[in-house]
Amino acid sequence: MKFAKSHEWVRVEGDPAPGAIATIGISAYAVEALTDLVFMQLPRVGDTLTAGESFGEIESVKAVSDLYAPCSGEVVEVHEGLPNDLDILGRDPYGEGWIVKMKLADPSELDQLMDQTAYDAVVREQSQ
Amino acid sequence: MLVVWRDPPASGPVNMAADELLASRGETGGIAIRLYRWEAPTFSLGGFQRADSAAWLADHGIPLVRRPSGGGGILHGGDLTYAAAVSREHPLGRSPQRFYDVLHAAMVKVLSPLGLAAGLHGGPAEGERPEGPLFCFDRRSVGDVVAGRHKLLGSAQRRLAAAVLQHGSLLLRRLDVPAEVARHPGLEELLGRGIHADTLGLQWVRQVADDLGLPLEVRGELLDRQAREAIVGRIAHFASDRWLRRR
Repeated sequence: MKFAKSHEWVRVEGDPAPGAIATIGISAYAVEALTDLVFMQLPRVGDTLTAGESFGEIESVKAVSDLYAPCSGEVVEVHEGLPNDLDILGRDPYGEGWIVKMKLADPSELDQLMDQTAYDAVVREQSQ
Repeated sequence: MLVVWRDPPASGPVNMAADELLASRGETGGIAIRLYRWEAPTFSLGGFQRADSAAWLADHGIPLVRRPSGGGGILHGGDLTYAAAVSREHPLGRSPQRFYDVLHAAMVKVLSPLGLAAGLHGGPAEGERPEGPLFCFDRRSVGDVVAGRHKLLGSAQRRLAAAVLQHGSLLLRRLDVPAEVARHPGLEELLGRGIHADTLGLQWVRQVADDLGLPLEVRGELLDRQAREAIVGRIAHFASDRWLRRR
């Protein structure tokens, strides 16, 4: 699993080749920092995501935050039930709390992301 | 440094585009606050509130605009509106809740000497859903500035990759519109005397600067001719049906 500085995670099934399926979500730290979640807007199947650009929005009490794509590709599946049960994000952010699945366009973009150790260091710094 | 801009009254779409510009400039670091007013009473919807829930306001001749920030709807015109932006590189940008708390705590310090028992709401949040009460001032969140049962200042944020944009509204006076629209008393009704919005706004930004230990620089208009030309496309965006009726 790899992480973006903006707190999204991505997990690739199998070899990270073009066309491989990548699952995207947001980290436990992000969910905790957002506090009470009230609404989520997701992309649609077939949408093209671009690394670093917003692909959805999430509203918590008093704040709307963008969700940023950690890598580029075409959305092939959306977790449609998630906006109706946002508590899933808190219960299981790396499993049932997945947000979208996409066909990876450029696997080299994954090299720009952080591994767990590097991401944990970012979280520690931001928590201070 | 805390940079403060003061713009003359403008329409809803112009104000929203200007706030977006403020946030984009915030990417270069530091904190900026824009104090502004509205050229006519305007109702701003929170980022995901349903547009049809506020459609009845058109019957009263009140235009709608949608904010990029969250929270509930606000009737502007009798309020002091602000937009504050902080870079994500700034400690307050990395801790947006603290940014919210700092700005509200400074307002409590400014309001208290006026003779109001102002404080921060400490109880549970009520009605904080897009489908909750339409009006921000019918809602309660931890950290709202209140005086007794009256909410005086509510704020909400848009958390972007490079900056946090915070909108807030201090209720100064009840507008001369039907009571179902101007639902809440403002500072003037609670105090029984007039309040000078510009003076209060400047006292507040000075307090914010003092509390943060930052030098304060009060500038003129953010929206000079050049800036206004640069955001023409964004003004059209905030005026569009596509944005207003996104939900």
